[in-house]
Parts: sequence; structure tokens; C-alpha cells
Amino acid sequence: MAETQICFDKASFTLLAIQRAVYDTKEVVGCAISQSEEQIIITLNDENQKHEDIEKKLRASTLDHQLRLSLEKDFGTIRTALVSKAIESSVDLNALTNEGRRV
Amino acid sequence: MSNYSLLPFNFEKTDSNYLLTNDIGEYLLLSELDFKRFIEKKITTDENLYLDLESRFFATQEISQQLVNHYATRYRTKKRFVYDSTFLHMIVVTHRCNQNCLYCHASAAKEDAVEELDLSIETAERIVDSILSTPSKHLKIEFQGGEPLLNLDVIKHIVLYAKEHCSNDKKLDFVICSNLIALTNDHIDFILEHQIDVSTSLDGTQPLHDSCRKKHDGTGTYAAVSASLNKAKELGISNISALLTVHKKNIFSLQDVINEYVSRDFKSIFIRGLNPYGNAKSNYDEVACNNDEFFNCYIAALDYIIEINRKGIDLVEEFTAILLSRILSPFANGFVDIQSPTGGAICGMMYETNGDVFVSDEARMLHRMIKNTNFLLGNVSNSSRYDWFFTEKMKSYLECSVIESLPGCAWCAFAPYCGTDPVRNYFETGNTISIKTLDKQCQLNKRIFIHLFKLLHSSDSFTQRLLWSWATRG
Ligand code: SF4
Repeated sequence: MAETQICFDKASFTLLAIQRAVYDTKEVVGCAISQSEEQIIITLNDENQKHEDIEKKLRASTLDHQLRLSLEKDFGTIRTALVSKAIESSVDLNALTNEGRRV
Repeated sequence: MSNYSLLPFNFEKTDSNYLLTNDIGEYLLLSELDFKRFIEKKITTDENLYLDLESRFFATQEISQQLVNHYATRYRTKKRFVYDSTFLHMIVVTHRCNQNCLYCHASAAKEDAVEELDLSIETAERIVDSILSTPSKHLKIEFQGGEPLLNLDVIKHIVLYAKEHCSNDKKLDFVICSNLIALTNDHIDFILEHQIDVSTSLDGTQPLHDSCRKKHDGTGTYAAVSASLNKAKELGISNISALLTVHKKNIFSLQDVINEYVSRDFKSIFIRGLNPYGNAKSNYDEVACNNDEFFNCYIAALDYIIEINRKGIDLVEEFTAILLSRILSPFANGFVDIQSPTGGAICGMMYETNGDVFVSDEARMLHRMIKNTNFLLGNVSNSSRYDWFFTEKMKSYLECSVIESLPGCAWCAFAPYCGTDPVRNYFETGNTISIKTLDKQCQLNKRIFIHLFKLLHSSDSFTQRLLWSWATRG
């Protein structure tokens, strides 16, 4: 089977979303990710794979990851604030343990 | 116009629904349409759905200090184990064993082995000193092996020494993990006198158990275990639990295994797969099952256990109960194998016969197999807990187990209930961080989580009530 190129429009998709989708798609055995001015391109280069199925999965996964990234933009700051608040009493763990040797 | 803000969450598409979870372990299942409306902020705040979302901290109309404080408290409650100190202290009292199980994880030696394989009194005292220096108010000392009862004198010494030197403000419990085949009245007297818990192994009915759990002469051990269990119960030991190991020879007979547990009046069963260490590695083809086999049989066994309960027999499946308590209760539970950060060292530690200290049971198994020292923290004879904890080794061990920051886990909807074991990852892949799509444990856990969420939302009210009761039992 020849190489298959799957193209994503940079206006809609980021490299990070595509990288996460590739990571999550276990059927991808070998691929290369490249970029042109307007597109991000995944080239599937494992000859033993059924590329149509993988393409379908990759596209669905990329959509989900793009959504996750835009949601993270929305609530990322509040998440940092919430977690920071939760662990604020332990941020200076070194001082606490040096003093009390509480391990 | 939206009048609410989204609070942080992960999501996973399951069939036609979206599962939403957040860092404090709350979850909600939404239809595709509702999910779309939610993220587009098109739900009106007087809808019941909005109230659900708000009460589970997925949305808020105001990011107030009160909200931040409440969320932070819930977060700390979920991660309570990070604020406590090491609770479980496992001591290998001997490497000798009177059994030669096909899947022995501990790479045990023969009973009459002449090498120095037993823990000495002197090293035992150094180990106990170190355990008692742990700030935790509740300490559990677990005797492991080999077969611990082969070094009973040292166990006795540890129990007496620990009780004598333990401060009054600490609670001290003991567990012996024994195959029980050499249980004597002397052992029983000691166990009763000091209220020691006993954990044994039972792999099912006689042929199932004997298929893997054998003596050195190749004969099965079921008859001896069975006799010991009966004797122990007769003489008053009530706190005996049994651990099941699922392998190729009993996996397709889990109903028989469950019936055996019920007939022996055990109230729980832990359907636990093989660890890949020791003999389980060398006998892999003979004993290991693949993920599909394990998952399908696990689910069938769970269904069977639910049916048994429906008939009025109490039996809890422990792994399901642990995961459910993560999902349904606001608390952390003491299951150190799957949590973030890992429970290794911070919740449980392992002490070897020569005083070496490892982050976990698995780490000492790995060391015994291939002499790997990546997870060896030090030795009780020349270093202290302080030295073991404040090292780059410990820092990197813990860091690579914080799944909230790992690829794959960071965006996984099951992350609030899950965990990863850097020791196992290292053993299986050569790297402490696994690639999740290739990680068998991760893939199996995901399937089990998805199934549990399905069960929680099944239309069978008995199943729902049962699962809640498992999750919230004391
Ligand atoms: S180990 Fe797997 S199931 Fe668990 S949080 Fe990570 S990706 Fe999810």
C-alpha cells in the first residue's frame, strides 16, 4: 500500500491537537508530521496498515483534541488557581521537612 | 448569552454519550446534544441539567473565593494520602518457601536453601526502628516472603519489639501473608495472642488451585491450605482473607473459583491478574492470559457475583469496589497500586532481608530478578527515611507517576480514578513512563472503567444499589 497523506487546515487545527491524536491512535505504527503554510500533514508510511480506517480515527480524535485544547484555554487559568489553592499548604515542603523532618 | 463559566474537566466519548470528569472525581454523563449545549454555554441556569453541572463543579455562575476554597478542600480530600505518611510497611522475613508456584512473583528459594536468605534479628530491629520513625499515626507491618512462617522467630521478635518501642499515640497492626501449608498450633497461638491478620492465597477449587500452586515435589497444595483454613477457623482465627491470582489455568473457570470462595464463607474476592515478575515471567506462556481474555472473564465474573448477591449472598469484588469508591466517594482509598502520585514509598515501603529499602513490593521483585537498583532507596543500617525521601531518585520516581501531567492520562476522563506504576512500566518497556496506547494495564483499566460507568447507569436498580454499597462500605 502506498503512503497516505492526511491534511488538516491550519486555520482549524493546531499541531498539538494533531500530535495528541497521533499519540492516542494506537493503530498508527509509522507516520511523519509535516507542515506547509496552510496545512499540517500526517503521512502514514506503514505499508501493512489499512489507511482508510486509521484516517477516520485520526480525524475524529483530532477533532476531540482540538476541542479539548480550546476548552483548556477557557478553564486553564481557573484550573491552575484551584490546584494551587489545594496544595498551597505544601508548596514549601522543603522548609517543612527540614524543620520537622516529617517524612 | 452565556451566564456561566466552565470549570475544568476531561471528557471521553462512550457510545452515544459524553463522560465528563474533573480533578475532584465528580462525573456526569451527557448526551451528545447536551454536551454540545453545555460547552457552547447554551444551557439555561434554571434547567435541571445546569443544576447537576453546577453541583458537580463542572460549571459555575461565579468564581468566588468560597468556590475556590471548597474545590481545594475536595481536591485535598481526594489526595489525602499525599498529606499522610507511609502507612504500609512490608518486610521480607525470608526468601525461602515451601512452595514452588508456577507464577511466583518473588523468585523464592527452596525451603532448605543454605544461602543467607532469612532476615536476622539485628536487621529486623533496624527495620522496625525505621518504621516507627514514620510520622503516620497508623502503621501496618506486613510480613512477606518467601513463606514468612518459615522464619517465625524473627516475626515474633518484630511483633514484640515493635509493640515495646511504639509510642502510645500510634496504632500498630500486623499482617502475615502466608500460604498456610505449614500452619501449626504454635503459629495459631501467636497469631491469636497478637491479633495478627492473615492473608493467604486461594486460586479456586482443588484442580484450579493445584494447577499453579505446587510444592517443590510438584504436588498441589490445595489440600494443605484447605486443612489449615479449617483448623485456623476452628481455633478462632476469624480475620483471614484470601487472595486470588487469575492465570491461564483458572481464568475460564472463575464461576467455580467464586463458588469456592462463597463455600468458604469469604465475604470478598479480588479478581487480580498476574504480575509479570519472577516465575510469572519465565513461565509466561504457561500462565499468562491476554487482555481480552482477562477483560471478558472479569466482566462475566462480575455479572455472576452480582447475581449471587441478588440471591442474598454477600460477596464483594474488591477491584470493582476500589474503583467505585474512587468514582462515587469524595475520599481517597488505600489502594496504592493505582493512584496518582503512586503509593510507592509515600504509602507503602518494602524492606528486604538484608535491610535494603525499596519503593514497593514490585521494586524488590524486579531487583531480585535482574538486580535493578533504580527503585532501591537505601539500607536501614546506614541511612534514614530522610535520606530515602530527599533524593533525585525519589523525586523522579514520584514525578513520573503524576498522571495529571502524563501524555495520554492528562486528557483521559478516567485520570481522577486511575494511576500508573513506574516500576512496572520500567520493567515492561524500559521506561518509567509508558506510552498509554501500548500500555496493557492502561488499556485494561480503561475498558473496566467504561464497563463500570455502564453498570452505574444500568436500568437495574439492584445493581446500582449494590455497587453503591460496595463503594461506600467502611
Ligand atoms: S493509565 Fe490509561 S486509563 Fe489510566 S488515566 Fe492514564 S490513559 Fe487513562
